[in-house]
Amino acid sequence: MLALAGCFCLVGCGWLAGDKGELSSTLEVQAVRPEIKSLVLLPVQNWSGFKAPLTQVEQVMQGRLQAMGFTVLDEKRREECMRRQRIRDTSGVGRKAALAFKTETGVQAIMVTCLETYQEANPPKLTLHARLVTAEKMPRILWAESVGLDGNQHPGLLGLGLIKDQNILIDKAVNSLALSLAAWLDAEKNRHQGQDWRREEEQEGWRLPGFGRQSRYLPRTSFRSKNMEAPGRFTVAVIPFLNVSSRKYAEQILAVHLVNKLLRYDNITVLEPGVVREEMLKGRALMPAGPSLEVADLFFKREELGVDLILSGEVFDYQDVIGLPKVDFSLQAFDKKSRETVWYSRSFNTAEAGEGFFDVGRIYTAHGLTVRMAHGAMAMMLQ
Amino acid sequence: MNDKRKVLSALFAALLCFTSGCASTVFKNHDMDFGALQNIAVMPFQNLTGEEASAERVRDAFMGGLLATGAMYVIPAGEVNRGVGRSGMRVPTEPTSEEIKKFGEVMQVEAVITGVLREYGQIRSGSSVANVLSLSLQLIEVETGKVVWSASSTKGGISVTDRLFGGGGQPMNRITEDVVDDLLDKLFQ
Repeated sequence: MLALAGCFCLVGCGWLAGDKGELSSTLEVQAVRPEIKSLVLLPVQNWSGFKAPLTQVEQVMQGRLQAMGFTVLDEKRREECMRRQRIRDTSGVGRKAALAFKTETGVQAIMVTCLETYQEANPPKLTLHARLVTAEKMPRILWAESVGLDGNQHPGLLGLGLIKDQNILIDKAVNSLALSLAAWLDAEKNRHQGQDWRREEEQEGWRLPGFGRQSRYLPRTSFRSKNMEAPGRFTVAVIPFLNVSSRKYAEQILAVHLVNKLLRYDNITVLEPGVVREEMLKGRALMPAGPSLEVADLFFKREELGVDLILSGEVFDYQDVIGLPKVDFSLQAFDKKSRETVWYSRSFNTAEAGEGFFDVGRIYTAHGLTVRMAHGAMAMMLQ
Repeated sequence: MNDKRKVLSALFAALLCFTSGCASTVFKNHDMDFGALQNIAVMPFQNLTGEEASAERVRDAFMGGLLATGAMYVIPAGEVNRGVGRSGMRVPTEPTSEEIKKFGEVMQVEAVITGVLREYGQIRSGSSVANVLSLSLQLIEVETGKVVWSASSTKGGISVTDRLFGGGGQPMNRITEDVVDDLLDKLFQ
């Protein structure tokens, strides 16, 4: 009987490891008094490649933000402003759009939400990215977070923890993002006390020697040029990747993952992806064969952007909904001073690689893999 | 006496078999100073397989591996593409000597590498299935337009263990790494 009970316990212990950091156990978010009081929530950008309940996600997000004490701009005024400024892409905030929101609606910040993965059933899957950007002449990223959930992630005892309703998954994902935002706001308020808003494992794993069992997410091949300077204060622009995979939007998904990771370094300023897009459109930059110095120069020559490093690469695999999660990408960084490739790395992983006894340590989503792989690559690049 | 001749003949035959089995697939121009190569461009690989984008995957892995050696600077793929356009190269997978010279002048490189991806994917034998990758490369000096190094490598495939106990062989990414390492060893040996 004891052995049987032990087995049941082990089966239900999937949550002990694996996607631990991606699902918050507490759903309560304390209302805080942020410095930023009003914001506009942009319509959810769909990167899933499937039809998804975007309005529902937006409504849940809006409700949560209001519960946190934010004044969210009403839909009518948002749509009017977007129509006037001809804003169609909502995956980022350009300089023109940020300024327009500030002057026309008076909001202080813009919340960008992107749906990376959505699967309705068998099991439901959801991955959500959110980013808070200032509404000013040069939009700055204040906070960014992502969450990836799978209904089978925490089966629990006798499968009682399985989630079959996608509505629950949406609520959980939004709550997880809200918790992170609340932590950031709280840390901002108590910055003088050295409070850190980053998740525990992010703080621990920031230095390479502490990477420990996560070492399998480090790049398989890497190159660092002697021209790559020791980390000081610098600005990075992450430009969309060259997508060689069959997954639509993989180039933007990878770029946003890296933005999220880089934002957690105190000495790095990351250019808002919307500004990057705006500059690339303005310069009519095309990358049919991957990142080039020609595109990098677009950013290096614009002094007001202050970009020191360009980060890009190629995505070879991004398998999230069908089959086992699998991610394969390479990174390349161009330095302003040397105008050379100062960093190259190639990372690939599949979900099955870390599966242990009774699925302990199993990663259920491509998002989970990418978060770790991006973390590993950035930790190695910036060590 | 007759027995002695038989033994010698057998030994000679065995030696012949052994040496033919060790036939090298590497060509290296010994007059070439490989240490003088500072900047190099890896052209898009010719893809003889049915797998779309596989040549790009392998090329990226090779470029990364070569860059990681620190022996020379590898021009980024986007720059190579720009150079192809600017030098008027018609088929970048099979450039002519004149095109290579022009490309070298435009991109300021001392050599280019061209490649042919001959196999990339699964092979089947009976009930066994495994991944296999076969790649051949050529290093062409820009100044003369001549091939100064050439090598090929094939890795993966169905092993005896796979046949006896089943199993699908190595993942393709691992095999790609093995092929790249093997070719780099041949280049720097």
